[in-house]
Amino acid sequence: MRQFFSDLMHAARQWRARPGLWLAIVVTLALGIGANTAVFSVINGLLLRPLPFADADRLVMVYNTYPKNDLEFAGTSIPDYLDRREGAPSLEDLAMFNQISLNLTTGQVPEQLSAARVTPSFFSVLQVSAAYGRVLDDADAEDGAAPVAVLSHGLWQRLYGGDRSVLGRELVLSGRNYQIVGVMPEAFAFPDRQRDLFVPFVFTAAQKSDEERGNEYSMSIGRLKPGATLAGLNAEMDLLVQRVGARLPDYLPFIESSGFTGRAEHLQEFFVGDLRGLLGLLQAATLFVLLIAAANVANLLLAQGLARRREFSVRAAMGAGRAQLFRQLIAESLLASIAGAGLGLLIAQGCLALMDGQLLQRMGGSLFHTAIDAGVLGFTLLVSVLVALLISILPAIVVAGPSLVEGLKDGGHGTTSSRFTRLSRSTLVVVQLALSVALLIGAGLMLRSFDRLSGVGPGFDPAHLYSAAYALNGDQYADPAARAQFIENSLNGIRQIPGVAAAGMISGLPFSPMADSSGTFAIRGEVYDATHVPPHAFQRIIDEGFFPTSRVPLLLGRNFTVADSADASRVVIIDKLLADKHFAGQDPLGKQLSRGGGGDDAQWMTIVGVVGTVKATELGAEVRKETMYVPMRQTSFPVGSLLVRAEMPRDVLTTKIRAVLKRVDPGQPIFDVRTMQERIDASLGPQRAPMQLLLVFAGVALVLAAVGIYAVLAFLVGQRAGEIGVRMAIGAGRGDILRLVLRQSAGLVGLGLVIGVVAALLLARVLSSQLYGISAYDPLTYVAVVILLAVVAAAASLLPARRASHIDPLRALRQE
Amino acid sequence: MLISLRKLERSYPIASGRTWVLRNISLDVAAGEFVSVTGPSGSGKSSLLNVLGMMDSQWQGEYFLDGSPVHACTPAQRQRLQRASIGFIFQQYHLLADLTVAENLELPLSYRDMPAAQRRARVAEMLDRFQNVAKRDLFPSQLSGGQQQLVAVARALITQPRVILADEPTGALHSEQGQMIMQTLKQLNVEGATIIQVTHNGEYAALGSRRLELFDGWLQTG
Repeated sequence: MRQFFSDLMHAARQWRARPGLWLAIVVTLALGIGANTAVFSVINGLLLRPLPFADADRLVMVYNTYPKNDLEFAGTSIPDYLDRREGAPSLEDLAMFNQISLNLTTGQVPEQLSAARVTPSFFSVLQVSAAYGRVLDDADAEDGAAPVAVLSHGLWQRLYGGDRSVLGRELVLSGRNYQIVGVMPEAFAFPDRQRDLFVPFVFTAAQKSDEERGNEYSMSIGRLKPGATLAGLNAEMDLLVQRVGARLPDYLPFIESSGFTGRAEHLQEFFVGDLRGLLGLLQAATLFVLLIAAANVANLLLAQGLARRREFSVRAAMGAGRAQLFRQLIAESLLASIAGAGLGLLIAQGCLALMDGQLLQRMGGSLFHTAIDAGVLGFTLLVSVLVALLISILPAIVVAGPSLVEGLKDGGHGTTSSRFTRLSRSTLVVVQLALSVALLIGAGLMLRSFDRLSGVGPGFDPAHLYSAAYALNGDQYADPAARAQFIENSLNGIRQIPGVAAAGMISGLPFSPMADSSGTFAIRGEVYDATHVPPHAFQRIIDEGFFPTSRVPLLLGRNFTVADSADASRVVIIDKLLADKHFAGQDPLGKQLSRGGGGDDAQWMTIVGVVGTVKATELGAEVRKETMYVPMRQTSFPVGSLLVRAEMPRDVLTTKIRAVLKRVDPGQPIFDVRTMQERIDASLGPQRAPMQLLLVFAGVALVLAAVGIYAVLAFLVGQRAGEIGVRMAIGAGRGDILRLVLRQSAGLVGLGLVIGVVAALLLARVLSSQLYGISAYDPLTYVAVVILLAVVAAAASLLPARRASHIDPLRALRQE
Repeated sequence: MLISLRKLERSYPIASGRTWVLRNISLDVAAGEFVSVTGPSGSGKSSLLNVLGMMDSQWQGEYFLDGSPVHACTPAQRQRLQRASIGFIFQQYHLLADLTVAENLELPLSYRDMPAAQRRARVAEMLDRFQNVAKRDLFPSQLSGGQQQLVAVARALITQPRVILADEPTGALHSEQGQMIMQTLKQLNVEGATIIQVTHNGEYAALGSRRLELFDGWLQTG
């Protein structure tokens, strides 16, 4: 150890004597190691590190599924939750929760708080206690109990500055008084970091009844008993569904036709399991970058190694064994790679900011941390040690190889080692090129895929289209007419704002968290049974201003009007997909639909219009679920969005809308003001982030490969100076020499390109699941990458080739 | 005998077969001898020195060093024997440029797992002996050729080897410096060191107690 420390000290001096080389090696390694650290940080944060709950591996998300209806995940209804809590022996405990918005009106501007409505078992499932006061108990969730709330640490700090006497105080939220009974610990976050407070999920008698089945607006989380398995729990839930079917014969056909049952998935897998493939792809890409960087550094060290053969031969003559010589080289490489890792950590921070901002955004500032922790530091250290070993091997063979005695001859220019070095360096360049080609093709395919994706129309015109969310809670808006009045007054006020072209409202705004609100519907005249079940559709509530504002095209019939009031006959507008699916070859206008299963109490709505199909959540996903629009004066929902088309800055518009709303209802906030383009862009985050990262990695690879080609050709030209001198002495012109060197370069580049293309073709299958609208074998991408690399390689070759063609033959021959 | 070679041969493969650099060498060197090896360029002088110094192990025949059969040693045993017995002096000094005089002297000791205090003491003794104390922190580039070769001689002696192998130790020096180095080697021999030197210089060869001549790998006189 003492000896190795001494080697390290000596290595430090070696590098001090060659600062330029040191910097080049450290920066090159930093790029490779930094990229790997960044991606590993994400993998560590998402997939490897357990979630911050006791025995987190026993936590499971429980949900309904309708596989035969193409609906894999469907939340949980209250009766399903009650069935499972009582009847699934594998579960130690089960909780149910959903997210609601509550209006806080204590400040100057009314504020929207984000609350989690949870069953008291939520805390026992997660095994968390309050930092101060208590969590919710069963009495809080009794129907008719006084409202109570547990604050998040963040809200407690923000509203009360961390005052502990807050316990017992009352907080007015959406017109109701909530007594504060507890404050959660700072580190607690579930289901995400945005929950400001936790309020009890109170079940009414009606909600506990079988009528509530199918209303799956909540999520469910459970804790498995020690030793219990997912398979066991799934089997128990199958049995519970069978029992429900046996008890409710009318429900049984639907259960059978839809394949309805309950399913459970480990918490971590549920949230991030689908990112596994993408992260694997990114880690492979960063490994490529690291190998390219290592090849470049090995190349630099090989050149150095040749120059240092004499030094190592002297050391051998002084008694150094091969192990000692190798240790010396390792110490030097280690020092460089550790410094590279240090710089790499800074690069990783930059990459993480990009990934956190986009890749993880969809999880809503989630439970997952992607920080550089001790595990990541350990990984980085391990990578830097492995890299140090890797980059030491070839120089070690050259300087401490079998023919040490050569190093003492002619200042160390032994012929055997030169041949080995020449071959090694050429091989390294071919490997670098091949890896770069594969990486560039991958990045190119992702870029083309993203281009295709972002070129997909959402079904409306997102330019200058703003959305602002509202939630009309409390007794003031219990009456649907009051809600409609609020919206109408607000929209009328907004339409008066100079610069506003149009305004409308919608519940379940596309590309918002509410976009997937859907339910079954029935078509009048259809008879539903086990083989023919009622279809499912997105259900949106809109006003007559929505279609003109969003510019969703009206294809047939008419838009809603103010005349479509609560007293008028009920009407509905459907999208083209619904028309094509259910009224193919017919005129859908005049046909009737109802929400729900179409039983005796169905409220039939007449189709008065057909509009274009709108993407709901993802541009890339094919719209498979139809949409029905109902007028806000006939059907009401307290949560929705105002849509405003206006060419003005967001801040100006927000201020003006708030002023309008203040006149309509000073206690009603709007929140989440964003353009629709921003919402669409955010939905593309999971595709954009890896594409951008791959492009950065590929760019780095391209530069490193170009440097590698340049360095090797410069070296080969140096080696062949004498030969070139002879050639010129016997009549070769500059053009001949230029061609000679470029031919040598072309051989290496050609081989690298061929191997790279073959590697890319072999890897294409892995990439295809990440692509949209483009084949993993897209010839344009392959050809473009080959041309790009060939051009870059030619540019990198030109300088050494020109230098070779300007060699003074007399001087070269004298040196020879 | 300190050194005994029997039918030692060294060759290299070439395209048309093998080229021989040492042929059927049999040689005995007693402790305390000062042997000069001469011969034209390419005659095998340096190759012989490399074999004797165990820098080269690709030869056939027998080599006994102080009774130890080098030809039968494993690489590790050879290295131990080399560390214990051999000191090298090169024509081009081969001091490590980024080490100071003292560090260059310490280098062979650092490969022999000697405790640091003992190493420092030995370096101090050697600096004193060669009157290099004032130069201990200078780098080789700050010394003249003769001074560098003196440091190289000190470095060869610092491990107290049984044999000093000197490959044209004056080849890169002007005559005055060459004289000084040869006098130093002669003095060391008088003090009991066994020295085998390769040289082109007849005058310096004559300083040895015995002269060997190589021609095309054959030993001409013994």
